[in-house]
Amino acid sequence: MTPRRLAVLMMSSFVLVIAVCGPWLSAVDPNTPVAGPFEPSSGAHPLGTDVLGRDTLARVLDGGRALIMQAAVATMLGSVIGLTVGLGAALTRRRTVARFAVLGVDAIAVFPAILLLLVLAAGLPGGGAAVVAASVVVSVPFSVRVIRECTTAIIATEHARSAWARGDALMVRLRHDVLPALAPAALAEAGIRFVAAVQLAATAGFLGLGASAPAANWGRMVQENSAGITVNPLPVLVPATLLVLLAVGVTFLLDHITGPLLGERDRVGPDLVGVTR
Amino acid sequence: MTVIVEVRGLTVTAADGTAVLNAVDLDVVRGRVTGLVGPSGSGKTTLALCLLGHLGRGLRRTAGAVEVAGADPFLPAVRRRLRGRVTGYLPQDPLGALDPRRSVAAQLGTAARIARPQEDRAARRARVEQAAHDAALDLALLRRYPGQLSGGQAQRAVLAWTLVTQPELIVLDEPTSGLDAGTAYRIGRRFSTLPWQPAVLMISHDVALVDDVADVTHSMRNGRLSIAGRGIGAPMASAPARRSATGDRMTALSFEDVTVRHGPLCILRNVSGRVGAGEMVGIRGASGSGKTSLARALCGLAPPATGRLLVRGMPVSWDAVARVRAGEPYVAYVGQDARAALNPRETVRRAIARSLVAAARQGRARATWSVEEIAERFALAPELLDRTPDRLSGGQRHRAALARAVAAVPTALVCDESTASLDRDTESRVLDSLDGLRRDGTAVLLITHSDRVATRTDRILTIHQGHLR
Repeated sequence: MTPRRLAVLMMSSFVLVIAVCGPWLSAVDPNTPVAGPFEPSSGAHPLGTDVLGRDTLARVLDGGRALIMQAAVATMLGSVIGLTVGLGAALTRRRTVARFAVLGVDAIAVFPAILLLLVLAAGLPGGGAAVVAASVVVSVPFSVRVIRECTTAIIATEHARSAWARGDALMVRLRHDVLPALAPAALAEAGIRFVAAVQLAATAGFLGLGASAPAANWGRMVQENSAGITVNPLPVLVPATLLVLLAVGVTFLLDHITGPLLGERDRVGPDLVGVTR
Repeated sequence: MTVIVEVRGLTVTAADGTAVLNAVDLDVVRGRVTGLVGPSGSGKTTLALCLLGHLGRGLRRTAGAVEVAGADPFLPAVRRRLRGRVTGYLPQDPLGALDPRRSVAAQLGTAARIARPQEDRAARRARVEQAAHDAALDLALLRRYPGQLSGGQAQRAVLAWTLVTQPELIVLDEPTSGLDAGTAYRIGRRFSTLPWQPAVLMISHDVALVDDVADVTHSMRNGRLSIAGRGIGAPMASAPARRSATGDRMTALSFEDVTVRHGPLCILRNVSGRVGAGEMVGIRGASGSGKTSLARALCGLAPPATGRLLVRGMPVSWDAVARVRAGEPYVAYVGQDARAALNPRETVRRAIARSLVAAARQGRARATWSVEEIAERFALAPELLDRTPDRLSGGQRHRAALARAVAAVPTALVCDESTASLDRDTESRVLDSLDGLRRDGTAVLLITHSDRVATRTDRILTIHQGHLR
């Protein structure tokens, strides 16, 4: 591993650790005012205070977990639905069923994410459920499309077709022919959806949706504290930076973990003949 | 006499420490054709890839040096400079080397542009046409896409691609495995008369062809190289006599009025035929005559435009999946491109085991069969069973695909050039196994270009201009 890769790896793991373990690490109550608003960093408050005079560090440590949890749950639910519908649409021999399933999913895709989020937040009681539901609904069409296209290509390969022709059971074909070949695409796609779900969760916080007012949330911190950015920029800059690092880091970690696991194989192909380079 | 390739003491070992190449010395000289023969899996392709500076997965070079045109191809910068300009390579599974989304002409044009960027369009076109001519590729085929080419045509298209850059070194891995004897000789002879006098390294199992074409022939055995004498292609002493066809055999498979079209092209026109239970029938015909199209149709992989198929006297669907659902008999296809036929993530053992399970599930199983026994029938050594296809040689892959098909206990077995990349001993062992199947009542159809294979069949059907005789 090159030093640069190691550095990026360390950084992205660090952000994840802060987000997940943060609430346990903070000694100060994130919702109690401790000083005047927008005080600069000092020994007692390393990142200063925010708009209501609360400790910024405590709020940063407290505000990531909900975000990540919402995104993770939304990604997992989206993957389950995407894999089920996508694989089903590609594998079924009933063309009409497949077409209507994909049409139905496409119909959902026309709704803007924010609109869905606002409607769902109005309907569902406060908390993360509305954010999770909106993320799932928004991302499922994407997932279904990708999974279906990949699966269609995989089952058209010569070895998958011969397995079908000789009468392998559906589960056997899924386990040996389809899923191993689908895994890289499915994981990459899940990674993108995770990043999108984090963004949506942060947007929800910024708009004041989701968990109600005093709870910390990196997205909401950016919004709350932007008024005082000239006095103490840290309550805006730190959560904003963490959001960016989280998005970059998750996709990087995913590549790093799944790459060697799936085994990139070198094949003797057109490359040796000399056209691609 | 210029030496283009100089290999000295080259030793390549696999991950488990066994030597794939053992202290190999080789010179390939300008204007000469150097032949390389040897049993399946003896390291021929590994040596060819070393000339391109490439080692297969899990292989390591432990000693020795390779020089191509005075430079070491294992250095990345040199490798980039050599590939596609100084060296041309024809891989064993040619269909995989072509981009399915571009026509042959477009791909040849790209190769010509990379090798000689300063040339204008007309000169490039002339160069492409000359290369197609040298590779005995009909100019009308240049407009086609790889999916519309037969196995032999794809092989010649990649050969034209190799020739279009006029490389100083041409490495050919089984260049004629998909070609009929006439075309194979025509192409083979041309290598020694190419105007820019390249050094040619030709790997082949067609000993007679190598004998005829090559100026010097090396023989590879267990990773060791030795000079082979002339006359190695003498006919086998005890070729089994052809059995006379008996007419009263029960019909295993018969097809009537089969017409196959590829777009506007009519490949087969109202062909009919039958194969008896326990009969081995050969199908022959020039490259591109529609042998594979017929085979794939019979196996339910590419339904024909019209026609009727009967297996054991019962009408059967043209779609393989519909056959499985209706519990109809299984007609197995063993394809020409063994690399595509095998799952790249699956070991040979698992591939065969899955096939046995599938047969049991469909109620066809033979209780006594085990993975090891089937592998042994096709001369697959036990240590090969736990390898994935990318760690097998071309011939081993073909045998793995055959073993997998046989393990599924088909009613009829269609083999498309399955023995074309095997040496003679292995070939005869594989044919013996197929003969054993035939005796047990399986109908066997062999598509082949080889006279030696054809003599082992009960009778021959020939496809010529869309008709079957």
